Amino acid sequence: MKKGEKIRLYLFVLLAVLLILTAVFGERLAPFDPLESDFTASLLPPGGEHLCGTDKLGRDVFSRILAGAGRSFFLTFLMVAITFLIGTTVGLLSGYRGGASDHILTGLCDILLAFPDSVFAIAVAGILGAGIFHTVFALGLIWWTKYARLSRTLTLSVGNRDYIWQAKFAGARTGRILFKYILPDILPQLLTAAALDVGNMMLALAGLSFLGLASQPPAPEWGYMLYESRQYMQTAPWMMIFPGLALLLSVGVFNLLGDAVRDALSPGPRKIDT
Amino acid sequence: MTAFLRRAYHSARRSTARFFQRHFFLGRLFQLVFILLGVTFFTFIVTSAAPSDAAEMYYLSRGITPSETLLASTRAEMGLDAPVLVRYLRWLISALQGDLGQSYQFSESVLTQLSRKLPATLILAGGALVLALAVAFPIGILCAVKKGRIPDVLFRVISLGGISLPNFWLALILLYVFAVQLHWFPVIGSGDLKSMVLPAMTLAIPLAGSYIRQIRTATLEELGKEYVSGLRAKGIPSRTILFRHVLPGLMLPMITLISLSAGHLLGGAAIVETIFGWPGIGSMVVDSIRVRDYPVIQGYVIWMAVIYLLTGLFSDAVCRLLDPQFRASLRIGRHIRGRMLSRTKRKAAKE
Repeated sequence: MKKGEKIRLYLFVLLAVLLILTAVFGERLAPFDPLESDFTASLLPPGGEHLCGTDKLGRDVFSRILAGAGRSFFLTFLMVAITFLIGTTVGLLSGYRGGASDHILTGLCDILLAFPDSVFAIAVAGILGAGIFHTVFALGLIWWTKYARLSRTLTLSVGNRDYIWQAKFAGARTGRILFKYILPDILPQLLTAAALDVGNMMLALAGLSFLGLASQPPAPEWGYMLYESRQYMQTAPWMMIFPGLALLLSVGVFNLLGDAVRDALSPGPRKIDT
Repeated sequence: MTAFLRRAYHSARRSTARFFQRHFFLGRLFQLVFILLGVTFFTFIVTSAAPSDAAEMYYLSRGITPSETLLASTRAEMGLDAPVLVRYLRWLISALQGDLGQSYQFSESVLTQLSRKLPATLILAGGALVLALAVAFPIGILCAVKKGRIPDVLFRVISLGGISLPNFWLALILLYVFAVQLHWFPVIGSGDLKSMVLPAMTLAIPLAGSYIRQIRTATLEELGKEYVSGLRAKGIPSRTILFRHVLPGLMLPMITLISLSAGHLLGGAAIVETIFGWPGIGSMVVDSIRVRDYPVIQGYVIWMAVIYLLTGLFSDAVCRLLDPQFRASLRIGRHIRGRMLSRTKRKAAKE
C-alpha cells in the first residue's frame, strides 16, 4: 500500500466514523425536538436559532435531519450486512459444491437480476402495501444475488488451487475448507463490493421512501422529508435543499471510502484504478 | 438409482452444453425463455400474496363493500379458488395471447395502457443516454490520457459527486433552479421537447458520472495492452494510436456498458417521471400503486424485465458479432464442419 493511499483510507474511515457517530447520537445532538410542532414558527427561513429553517408544522429541519440520520444509517448497514451474509454463504457453498444446486442458484440469480434496479422493490412495496418492512424485504430479496454471484465466481477461481487440494487430501471438512481457507482469500474483494454498495443501498432506501413507499410519517426520514418538501418548493426551498445535502454528503463519504478500500485492498501490480 | 440419475444428469448437461456452444444464440434464447418463466411466476406469486385479491378489488373499485358470501361466489366465478399453480398456468396462457388483465382504475386493458405509455419513457431514456454519452465519452478518455494530472483528478471528483447524487433530489433542485426561479422550462411536463430537458438531465447526470469512471478504466486497460507499446516503439504518434487503434477497441466495453445502464434508466424513470409529471410508464406505475391497481403493476414489472433482458441479449449478440475472435471461430467452425461433411459424402459415394 502506498503512503498516499493509506492516508486517504484513514481520512475517509475517520469521516465515516464521524458520520456514524453523528447518526447514533443525532437525536441527543438536535437543538430542538424533531417531532414537536410549533405553529408560530411555521416555514421560517434558515438563520437565527433554526439553522436550516423550519417546515410547515414549525419543526426544526436541522433537528429532523440529525434525528433521521440514525434510522437511515441503521437500516442501510443492517440491509447490507444481512444480504452480504446470506449472499456470501450461498455463493460460497454453491460455487464449491457445484452440481445441480449450483445450477438452481445461478438460475434463481438470473431470474432475480432480470428485474432492473429498484423496479421490483417499487412493485412489491406497491402490491403488498407501503411500509418499511415490505420495502426492506423487497430490496433484500434482490440484493443478496449480487453477493451470491460475486462470491460464487471468486470461489470457482480459488477452489482449484493447490492449497485447497492439499487441504482436501489432508481430510479437512467442507466447512473448514470453505471458511478457513477459501473465505479469507476472497474476503477482500467481497468487502470492497460491500463497501462500494453502502452508498447505493442508502440511495435506494431513500428513493423508495421518497415515493412514499416506506413511510411512517411523523418519524423523520430523509427521503420522506424530501417528499414533503415538494409542495413547498416555491415558498420554502430550504426544506428541500438541506435533507438532500445531508444525503449527498453521507452517500459521497461512503462512496469515497469504498473507493479507498478498493485501492488499498486490491493487489499492487495488476491494479486498474477507476 | 441415484447413480443412474446422476449419470443421466451429467450426460444431459454435457450434451446440452455442447449443443449450446455450437448454437450460441439458440442457447441464449432458451435461457431467456426460462428466465421469463421465472420472472412471470415470481411476479405472479407476489401479486397473489397481496392483501386484497382481484374479487375484492373488483367491488371496491366500483365503490361497493362486498359481503363474504358475495366475495366467495365471485372468487369461484373468477377461478380464484384454484391452486396457485393452476391459476398461474391460466394466467400465463392468457398472457401469451396478449391479455395481461384489466386495469382496475381505468376500464382499459393493461396491455393498451402499457403500450400507450411506453414510447414516452423510451424517448426520455434515449435522450438521457445520448446526453450522458456525449458528455462522458470525451471526458472519460481525457481522464485516461491525462491520468493522475489535474483534469483527471478534477473530473474524478466531479463524477463521484454525480454518482452520489440522489436522483430525486437532483430533480427537485433542477426544477427549483430552472423552472421555478429562472422560468426556462415548464414545471409540469406535457411530453414535448422542452419539458423533456430537465428529466433527461436528471437521468443523465448520475449516468454520466458512472460512465466517466468506466470509460476511463476501459481506456486505461486498452492503453496498457502490448500492441500499444508495439505501436509506440514503431514511432506512431500517440494521437494516431488513440484515435485509430484504441478507440475502436473501446466499442465492445461501451456496448456492454450501455446495455447495463438500461436498468438504471428504467428504474430511475419511476421517480423522475413522477416528479416532472412526464407521461411515461414510470409515473403510470406510481399512480397505480396509490390506488393498488395490481394488474398494471404486474404488467409493468414483467415488461421492464422483458425490455431489460432483451437489451442484454441484443448487446451480447452485437458484441459477439463485432468481436473478430468470435467471427473467426465461426468461420473456422463452418470450414471444419464443411470438410467433415464432404468426407462423409465421399465415404458414402465409395460405398
